[in-house]
Amino acid sequence: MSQEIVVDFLENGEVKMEGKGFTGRACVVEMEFLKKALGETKSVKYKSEYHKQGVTDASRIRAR
Amino acid sequence: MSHFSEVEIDFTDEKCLVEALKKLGFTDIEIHQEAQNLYGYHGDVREQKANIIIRRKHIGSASNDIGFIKQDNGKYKAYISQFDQRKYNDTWIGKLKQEYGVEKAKKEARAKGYLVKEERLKDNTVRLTLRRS
Repeated sequence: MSQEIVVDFLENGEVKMEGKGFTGRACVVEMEFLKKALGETKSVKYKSEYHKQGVTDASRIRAR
Repeated sequence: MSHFSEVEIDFTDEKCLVEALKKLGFTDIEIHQEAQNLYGYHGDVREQKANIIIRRKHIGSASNDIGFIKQDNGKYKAYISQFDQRKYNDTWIGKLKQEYGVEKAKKEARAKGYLVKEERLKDNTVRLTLRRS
């Protein structure tokens, strides 16, 4: 699955962001610049994929 | 997907704020490095000063100037008179935040090398989809 960030700007000024196709913390890292640029993060909800080990991270662990 | 976030928008970027005001229909917008006084509907000088100003003649005959001053924390604060808040109320500020956020997100994402796709949904939500180029 390709990786993308979907950002919805509602008419009442609310912003909702969703990372798709990421595993582990990659999503958090990838979206951080946007959160900082826009303002203050009000809430974060983690999906099950967040707790999975990313492929890159797993490779690093095996290499050690 | 791995997580969702909700973000409260702060106005910090002058160019994006001006662009957002233009999208809401204002074409004559003053931008000042040094904050200037706002004027009331009688032409009276108000004590409030602002860096981004829409003069009352561009708002309505009985209106006061609308201004945004850049505070020490880098965030812009809006000055909208009680009279003008009948039209330029929380609903209007919400739309301004929406347009500002779209401009700011596109600017920052493109600077990071993302391809940006913009869609206007039926409920007036603006959706940006960011992908690595």
